[in-house]
Amino acid sequence: MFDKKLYVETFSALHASEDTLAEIRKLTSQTRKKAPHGIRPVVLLTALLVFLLSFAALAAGSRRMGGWVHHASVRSVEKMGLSCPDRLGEYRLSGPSPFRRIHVTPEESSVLKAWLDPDYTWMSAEYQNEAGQTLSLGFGKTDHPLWAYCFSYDAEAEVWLGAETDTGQKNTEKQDTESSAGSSGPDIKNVETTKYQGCTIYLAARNRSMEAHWVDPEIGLCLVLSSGPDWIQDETETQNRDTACLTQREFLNLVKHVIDDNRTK
Amino acid sequence: MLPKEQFIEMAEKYMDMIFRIAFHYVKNRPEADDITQEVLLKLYNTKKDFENEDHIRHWLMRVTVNCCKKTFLSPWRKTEPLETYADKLSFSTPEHGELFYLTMDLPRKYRVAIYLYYYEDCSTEEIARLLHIPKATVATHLHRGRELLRKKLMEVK
Repeated sequence: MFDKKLYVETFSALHASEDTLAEIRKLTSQTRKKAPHGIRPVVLLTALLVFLLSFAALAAGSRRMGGWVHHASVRSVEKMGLSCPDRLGEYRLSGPSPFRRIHVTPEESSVLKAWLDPDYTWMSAEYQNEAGQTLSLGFGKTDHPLWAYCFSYDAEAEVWLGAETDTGQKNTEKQDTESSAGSSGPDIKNVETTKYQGCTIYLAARNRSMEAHWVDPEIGLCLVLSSGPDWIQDETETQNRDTACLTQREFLNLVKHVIDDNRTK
Repeated sequence: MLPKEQFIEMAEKYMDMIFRIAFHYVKNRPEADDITQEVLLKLYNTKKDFENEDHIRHWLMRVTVNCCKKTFLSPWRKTEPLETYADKLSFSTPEHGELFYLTMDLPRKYRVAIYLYYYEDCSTEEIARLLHIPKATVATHLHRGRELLRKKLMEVK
């Protein structure tokens, strides 16, 4: 039986910080926010200016990965004075490219399973765009409620990994896991389990490199478009990649479609 | 729009509720405090005409849930280990502390539903409306959450 009394007593101990009310009082001592009177010329002017500046920044070679552009959230982190490792952050897709779905195949990745929660499952789907290029979409699903919100590139393993962990334990014996997975399956006993905070999605063109990640607030999902470390070195290659990208809407629809598939199983 | 005095009264009354809902979502005190502030400021600035206090409470719960979801939009989040906060809480018995950790270990969808149902006395229908999920799903989450808690408690004992 669920002991409601014990539950209520337990969570009665949680209180908002005393500073909250003080802060609120301080903020409310200022004037209330003025009601907007339609779209003002100054807003339009600002929007135009922001658009032009963004365009100029992109033209000047701001961070792009294939058809993916750094999202503002990363810049806001930088403004806060926090370090933002190169190539790390949230990216948004730009540029259209139609595609069609080929198939969805559930499969297990023993290495990832060893690193993640036992309920982790690995799915993959393959898609083909009009140019005949095959894209492989893979995603991990775990019932663990936490989230991945930060990724770093592991050059040794050639993968993007969640940089934050729930347990505070890092997988320090990754190499052992990889070698054992290659032979007779992972030796889970030798692995310090790293609980990644959520799900990760990888989308990589078979022959090309693209990368990005995105967080879905509704379905608790984080994704990475992943590839090798040399993705940004060849400008010509980058141009080619642009043509291979899906639109953001297409891609998100695709991701959600695959997740829904997985949910119903 | 609420008069300032009434707003302060409502803020004092509901800030812990907002914080607790947010904490059940984010499991993190600094973030839950930020969400509490954000929600209260929304209350202060809203032009909505509330019919009664129950309306305010429900509105606050809804806005809190939405703010919590929005938090996950950003990959950059504040962190604080659960233990750091738990150490500062004064649980009356070890059982209470145990339940705190076990509840926080539940999947988010279960612990939020359980909190709204058992602490805030929301009906499954109200929870369904708040979380934008079907009523049957709420019932499932409550059932599974309770089962998980029961199993975890048995394991501990």
